[in-house]
Amino acid sequence: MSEDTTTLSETAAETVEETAAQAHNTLEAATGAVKETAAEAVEKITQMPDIVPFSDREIILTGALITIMVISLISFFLKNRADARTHVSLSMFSVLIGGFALFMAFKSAYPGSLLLDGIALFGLLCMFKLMNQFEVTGPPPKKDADKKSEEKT
Amino acid sequence: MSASVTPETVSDGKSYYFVNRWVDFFMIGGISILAFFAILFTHGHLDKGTFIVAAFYLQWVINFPHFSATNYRFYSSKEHLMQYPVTAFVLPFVMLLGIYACIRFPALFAPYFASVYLLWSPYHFSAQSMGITMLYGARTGFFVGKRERLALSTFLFGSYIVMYLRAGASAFATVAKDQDATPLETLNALFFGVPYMYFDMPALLVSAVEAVTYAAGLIFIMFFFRACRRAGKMLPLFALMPMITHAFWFVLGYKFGLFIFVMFIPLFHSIQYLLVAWSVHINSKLMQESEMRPGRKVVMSETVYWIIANLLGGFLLFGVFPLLLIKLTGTSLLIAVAAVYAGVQIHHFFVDGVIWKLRNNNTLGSPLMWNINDLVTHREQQRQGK
Repeated sequence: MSEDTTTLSETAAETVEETAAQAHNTLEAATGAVKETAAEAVEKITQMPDIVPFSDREIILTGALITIMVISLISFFLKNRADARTHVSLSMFSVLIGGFALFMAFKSAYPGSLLLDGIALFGLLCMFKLMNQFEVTGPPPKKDADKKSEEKT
Repeated sequence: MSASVTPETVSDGKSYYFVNRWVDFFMIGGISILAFFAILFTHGHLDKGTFIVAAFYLQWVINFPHFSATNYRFYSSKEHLMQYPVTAFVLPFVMLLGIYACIRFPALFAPYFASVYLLWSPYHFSAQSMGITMLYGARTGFFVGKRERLALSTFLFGSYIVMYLRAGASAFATVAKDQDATPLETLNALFFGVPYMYFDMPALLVSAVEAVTYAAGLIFIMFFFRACRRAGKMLPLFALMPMITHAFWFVLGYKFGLFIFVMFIPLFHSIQYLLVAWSVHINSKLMQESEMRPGRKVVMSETVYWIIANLLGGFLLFGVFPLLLIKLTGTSLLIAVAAVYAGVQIHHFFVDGVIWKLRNNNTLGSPLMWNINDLVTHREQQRQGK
């Protein structure tokens, strides 16, 4: 009985030792892998450029956005100085530039699309029609004398 | 010229021509029609290069001055600039941005800029045909109302769209399929070395638009004869002249395969334009300066001055401006020319929309409705107070 117990405890001790050794190895391997991965990640991060440059297409589209913003700001700063017709005309410039930018963006992304061609053609013709009304719709700018007389009344 | 003229008939006894029967006939359409038949009967025998060289030189004395005439009328007076401040002060900067973008991105931006311009340009010609038809309608007593306008605009714009789509399809098919395309055929798909976009439409749809276009043209002619019946007399057929000329440009020119004739359309358009622009300039300028009718000599000297100014203006816009861009940016000649042609002409489309509506406080009525006789005849009678 005592011999059996001794043998059993020895076997158990061996098993524990083996398991501990295996666990140690696994942990070491895992630690190594983590270190390696972290080192790779650090290397990749340090290799990444600080700036992602715009493509030419993005520069053009950004230019269109900036122009629209500048025109809208002009309209804002002229809010009390210009008449409604001037504000409408400035908005029409935004439509023109936005329409052109969309035409360029879609036509270059999906060349040969029948549906897109139809929409682009119809859209451009509508835009030409709209531009025919450029700065001619709405009342003409008031003369100073008219404005003063209005202010008095 | 844009399509909005007040329907105001010239009073009885006044000529409905700007100058006289022959000058108006040739400048509004006679030259186009004669050129059509001349090219129809000779294009098989003559070298196409001859026509191209002729068109190149003629644009310096006809086409470019017509752009200058627009700018001259608009930018020569502070009063004019203040009436349309956005067109006067913001538009040039937007167009300069477009020209700069063409030069900076010749492969990415310029083709789209050129495509928009090439679609807009014949639209502008059609709008002028509309405006001149309405102008002569008002002068001859043929009132172009809402329904007439609808029929006329459907015909004018429809015929241009059909020709644009068909010509585009055939030009691109030639360039895409035929590696041995001649330089002349390749020109169809290039705008001064800049490739432009083609809008692909189903052939059936184009044919349907074509059918509607012709029907609208016939309906407009029916409206004219109905107006004659209502007036109880035959109204001057000259009212239909701009529409007939337009049909030669955009229907017959293409139907007969006369690419050379189609190439001359901008010149014909400019000739029409110059007649009206000259008349308006002379009338508004001279009637403004003196209450007396100025007489033939003054009209002649003002005309010579106007011609020289616009020849010079055209040279500056299309000769000096591209060279300046090349000098400043180092771009190629073809890109500079393409950018300037497209930019200056799009600018013209806008300015043209406003100059016919300019008000001169010192003049009487619309200068669009005057005749040269208002200036050069009966001077003695007026002096005597008759």
